[in-house]
Amino acid sequence: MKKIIAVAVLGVAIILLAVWMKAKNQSAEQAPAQAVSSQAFAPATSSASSGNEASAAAPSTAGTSARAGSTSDEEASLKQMAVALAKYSRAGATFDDLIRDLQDSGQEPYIARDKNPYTGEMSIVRTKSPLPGTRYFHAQYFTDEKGERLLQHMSFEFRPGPRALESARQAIYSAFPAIGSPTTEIEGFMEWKLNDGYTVWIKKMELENLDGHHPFNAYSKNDVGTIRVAIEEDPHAGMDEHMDEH
Amino acid sequence: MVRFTSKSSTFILGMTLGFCGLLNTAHASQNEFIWSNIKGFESAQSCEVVTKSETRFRVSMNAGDSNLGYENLRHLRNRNKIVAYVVDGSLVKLSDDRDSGNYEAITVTGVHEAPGVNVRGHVAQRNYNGLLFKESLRSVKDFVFQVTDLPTIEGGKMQSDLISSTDIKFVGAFLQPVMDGDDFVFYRCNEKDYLAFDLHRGAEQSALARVGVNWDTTSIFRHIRTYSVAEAEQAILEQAKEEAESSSMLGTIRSFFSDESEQSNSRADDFHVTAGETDDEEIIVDMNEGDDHSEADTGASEQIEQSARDEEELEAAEEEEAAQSQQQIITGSSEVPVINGSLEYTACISGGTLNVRGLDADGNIDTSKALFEVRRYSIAKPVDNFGESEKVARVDGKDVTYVLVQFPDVAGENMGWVAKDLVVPSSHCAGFQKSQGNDQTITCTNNGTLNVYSLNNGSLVQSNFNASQFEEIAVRTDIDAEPRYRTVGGQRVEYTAVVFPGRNNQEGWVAKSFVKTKATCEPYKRMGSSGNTNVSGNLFPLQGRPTSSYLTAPRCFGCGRSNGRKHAANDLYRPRNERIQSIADGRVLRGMYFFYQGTYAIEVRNDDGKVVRYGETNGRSYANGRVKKGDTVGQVGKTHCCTPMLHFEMYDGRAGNASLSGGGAYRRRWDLMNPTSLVRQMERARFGESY
Repeated sequence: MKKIIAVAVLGVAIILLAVWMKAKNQSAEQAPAQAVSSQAFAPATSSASSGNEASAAAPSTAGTSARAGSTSDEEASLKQMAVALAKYSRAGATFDDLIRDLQDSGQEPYIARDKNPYTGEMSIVRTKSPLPGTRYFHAQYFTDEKGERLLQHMSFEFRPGPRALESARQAIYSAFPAIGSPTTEIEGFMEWKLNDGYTVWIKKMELENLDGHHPFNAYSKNDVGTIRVAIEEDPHAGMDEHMDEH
Repeated sequence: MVRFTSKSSTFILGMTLGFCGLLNTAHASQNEFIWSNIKGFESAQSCEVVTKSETRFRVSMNAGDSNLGYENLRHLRNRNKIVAYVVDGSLVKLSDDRDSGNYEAITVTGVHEAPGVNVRGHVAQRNYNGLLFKESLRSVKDFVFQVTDLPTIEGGKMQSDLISSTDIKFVGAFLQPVMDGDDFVFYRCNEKDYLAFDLHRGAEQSALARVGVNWDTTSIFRHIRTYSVAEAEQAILEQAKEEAESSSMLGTIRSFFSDESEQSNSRADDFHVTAGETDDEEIIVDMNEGDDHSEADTGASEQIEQSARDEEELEAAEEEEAAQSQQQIITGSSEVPVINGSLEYTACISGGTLNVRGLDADGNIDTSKALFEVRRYSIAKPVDNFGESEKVARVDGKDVTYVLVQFPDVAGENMGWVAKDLVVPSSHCAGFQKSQGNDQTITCTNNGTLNVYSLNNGSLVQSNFNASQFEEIAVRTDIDAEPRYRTVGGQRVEYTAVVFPGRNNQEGWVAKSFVKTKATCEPYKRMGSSGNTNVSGNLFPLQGRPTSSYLTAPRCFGCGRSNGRKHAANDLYRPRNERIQSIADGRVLRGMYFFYQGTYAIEVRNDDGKVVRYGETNGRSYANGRVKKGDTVGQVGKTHCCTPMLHFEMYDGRAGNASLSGGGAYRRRWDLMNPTSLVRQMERARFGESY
């Protein structure tokens, strides 16, 4: 009987410990997000070397993206980048501010200006030195009839991992506190339609998503599980009738 | 004081500097060096000083049209073929004594790299060889060469004890051949003759040293700018001024060579055809496309019919863009680098193939072999694998930065490491721009297919496939791509070696008369490339009738949205990856860009001035430059949530120079059109009565 009681007590203790650990972990994750919400890109707290483990598969040509889990630095990067999506899609946020923030955080932005006399200018911002665990930052601005730049699309990718999609969801909740539940949620994909005509989405990339034709980003099968996080103008804003009919 | 003197008087200057030993059979003295490709600077003190009336070095200057800025480099065995062009001011050396009539066989020793000179594209690079018009070869005694960078010597010892004990900074120095009357002065060391050059720089009025260069070891001239004597005077005065300012600001002058040592240079070694320093390898580039100016003479007169004024306007804007981008590259001083053009990257090499490297067991670039090779202007995408995407490797004694790149059009293994300088935005690669659009080479037949041949024991035999009409091809430029001949109907027919990019780069020979560009192929100009002949009006953009009506919500144009917005397009539901064709002749304004949920859009301006945005495509780009009605412009894509479709938007073109985004309920530019009636009309014409 004593043995049974001891086992039961031990079991309860383990459960309580697990609950406590989880709560601690969550609060630890959320704290930095609140801190960075007013500043999209704080300078990286440690070197980007944490992102290099994947490429340590030396003889491989390109290395691999996947590994067991992301580091705390990488989780912080994810949150910083999600905050950037929120901050620079707001009315009043400027292209120049985005560039400055990217510079200040050491991400080495560069710009591609695609211009013609008939559909004006499209400016794309990319970075040479992304924050640890992130890559392929891409901000696409159009210049309107008044000469003002309008954000049409901003996205980045996050390293694959067992909790990567959930981490991305939490990062979105931190960066967009009033966003609520996803408008669309299917396996590996979540979308939130915002009132201002933008849509936010996160997608766990599967082979079929990588196997297509991507003008800007390079992929291999090693990239399955990569999380793509985006905010963009929604050409179908306010509707959900396009959902798959199959 | 005049520092550089023309022609024969430089020796007198040298005499005043203490180089009194420069007489026949005299010996060199201190601050006299000879250049070794392996060791760098070596003392010339043990060398004899001799004079000779000739040297094999020459400077190429177009004798016929000095405004052109370059001279044609012709094939060694076929002078009718132009393989590249040699920038005026480039240093060359005579290759042999072969009698070539009005031409001399030469090897390029140093390309004149003055600001504004485009040293990519079809420009002959160092070590290119071929025939140059004799009258365009000028004596080196009339020129001064500025060494803008020095190659790093094997083992990384750029500054030997010998050189660091002197106070001479060679990078930026000006070299002028030393003359004794009408004769050239040489150092003779170990039975080799080294042409002597006086070395000047900055505020120093006198020559600081002398350097002898043998024509077999010329890497000191890898990076040069060439000046006439008068120009050199001006340049060195400016250098003196800059160095004085720099000195006063910095208080100290940086060590020898260090300031330029980090400059990244294109490495000829990564061209399959230019490995090594030997002169033996013959380099053949661009056999079929001809030189830029000859094409302008012939091709320009055969432009496809189009709205000429608008085309000129667009091309003028593009030229302006190109000029701006060139400026950006040269100045490079802005805080944020700017690419003037799209984000597309390409293998920007002037000829041959580019080696793509793998990693060795230690994770270093394996420069001993290539993983695979890609042809010039192959589309490339920089890879970020969340890790290291740049590596430095030692090549030919110099640090070369490599980047990880994917070549999406290569079947199978398509990622590897290439020299960073050789993969650039396509908008910054002049040759690439030229190769696109109407310059795209195709099989030009009136109808049906075209016979393809392969080589069997040196003879052409029928291949196991035929080429389609208007199939895109690339003319091979490698050394095995010599033209072949067959006798057909008693006529000798020339066959050209080509590659079929759409068939995994399969190779073959086709009759040369059927190899043309889109701009020069009459049958192509008469009909759309998809064979849609005699189609009047616009063409429905998809291959089947939409699976749901685009006249009703949520797919219709103007359908209301819950937040007061309206839908700006017709959504045409069709299977994923179905071909999307251009509804009219026109021109691509903007290639694929992010549109919605992982899909892309492309913008085309039709010749009637209307602008079409083909949205929600899968990202594969088929069109660039001119498109004909029926040409493929993309494929139907699929968003992460929803039904695959073509999001078809149209503008009447009056709004002009503004992007398609805008205000109002549609959040679009004010000249947005309702395309519904046109779409119905096109649908009826293709598939019969609509819904």
